[in-house]
Amino acid sequence: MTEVISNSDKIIQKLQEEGKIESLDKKEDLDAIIEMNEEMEIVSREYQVKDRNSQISASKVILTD
Amino acid sequence: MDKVYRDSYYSYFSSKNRQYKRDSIRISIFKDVVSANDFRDNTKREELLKKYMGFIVLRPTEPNLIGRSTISPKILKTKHFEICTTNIRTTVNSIKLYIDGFPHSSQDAETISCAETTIWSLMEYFSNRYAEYKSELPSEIIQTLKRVSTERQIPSKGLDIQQISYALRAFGLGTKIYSKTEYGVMFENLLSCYIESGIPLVIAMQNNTIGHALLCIGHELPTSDQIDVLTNKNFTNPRLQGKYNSRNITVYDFNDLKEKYVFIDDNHPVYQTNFLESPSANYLPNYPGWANCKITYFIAPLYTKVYLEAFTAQNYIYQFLLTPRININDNSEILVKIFLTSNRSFKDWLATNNSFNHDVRDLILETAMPKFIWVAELSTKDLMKNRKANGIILLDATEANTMNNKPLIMASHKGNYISFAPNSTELQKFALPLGTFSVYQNNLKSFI
Repeated sequence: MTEVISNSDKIIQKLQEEGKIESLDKKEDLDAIIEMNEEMEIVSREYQVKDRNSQISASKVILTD
Repeated sequence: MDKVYRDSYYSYFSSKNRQYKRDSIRISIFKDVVSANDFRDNTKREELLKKYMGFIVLRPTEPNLIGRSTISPKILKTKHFEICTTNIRTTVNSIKLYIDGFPHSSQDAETISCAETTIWSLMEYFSNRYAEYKSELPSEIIQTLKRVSTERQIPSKGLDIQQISYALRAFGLGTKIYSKTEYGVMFENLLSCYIESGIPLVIAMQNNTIGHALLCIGHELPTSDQIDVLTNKNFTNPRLQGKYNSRNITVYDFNDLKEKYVFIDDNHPVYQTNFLESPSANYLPNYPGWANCKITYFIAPLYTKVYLEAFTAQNYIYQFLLTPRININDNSEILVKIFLTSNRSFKDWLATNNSFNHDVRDLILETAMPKFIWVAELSTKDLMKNRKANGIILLDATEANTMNNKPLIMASHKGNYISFAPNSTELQKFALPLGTFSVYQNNLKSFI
């Protein structure tokens, strides 16, 4: 018989009993996620361009000294 | 016999008409007097190991005589820095010894130029440090690059940056190339972020006539004065800058510290220090042709499954800091230190870090994590001067998809602990104070 020892379970159970756990599903939380998704999509596109251009120009630089 | 020179000898020097000697000389360095008898006395083994400071190979390739070498930073007069190091094993007078340092060699200018030397040095480091990689000799580097070379490779005329990246990828690393032209003011910050992560970087340094490869392996130990003069972070993303401005939040980025970095340069003795803006400053007294050299590219040799690279990880963190539950007050200041580390090293450090809130510590330690994680420590200038922080964000480095907070493992700051609910895509918040804790310092090694 194996016994799982988990301090996390005890901590979470205690927090639950004390009413200290909250789901982040309120409108302001969901709005923040949507806004971040939009921003990160722009970042992702920006990164793809920088990454591709870095690779292309790197082939023209010879290091020999 | 030296394995690197012997490889160059059989693959190149032995095919010449002029006779080259196949043997080389290895000079072993001890920090105190040792006698020949010490090497035949079992009780002296520990003492020899303590006194051993490394070795230098002299090869018969005039005028570039310095071959494979590893020297401990302990014997330097100035060693106010922290760097990547590995244990190199060797024998001296039949006794096995090892040294903690970074592998170095000068180029012989025929089989290995600066580019091949840099690849060799980097693979020597990774192979001695991690079981996943193996040491690569000059002929193996040349053989690997055969399929992407349109001309003969020996005598070496150097490599382009893409070829260096190709070779490192073939040797098992997940390389990424960063160009100064593309990343602009973010370039030095990204370089610093990877160095803070304990990842040695291949650096390309150029002026109008020079094109040189070298390694960056660490930086000076940050001082309180350097932290004091850190200036507000200017985000290249105007929308992000606008959001921080509108809430009057001043951000300092630890990776913007103006400090000297430590380089492994095959034209100079090991552990050279220079500012990123003037990487050739140590050349100038004797070689004026190296004036105005700038760092134009760097290659980050990442573990293959680090899919979330530094630019995206940093942007994610700075966007996430503005979300309501992370509790950054309007009209406040925050200092952020971002780095990559292994889950094993991070948890090993955390497990016995008693400055951490014990409940938060247990929650993090029992969270399943990938092999590598991004860490953002949230602090203030005053706290950071004492190597303390009061907030932390952990990201999954294997998650390059940043939609719906997918990379987030946990975040904790000012009484809120945020993580995903078990087996759910929904975030939850615990009211759990973190307090202040001692910052993570396991990525680089200091010799003071």
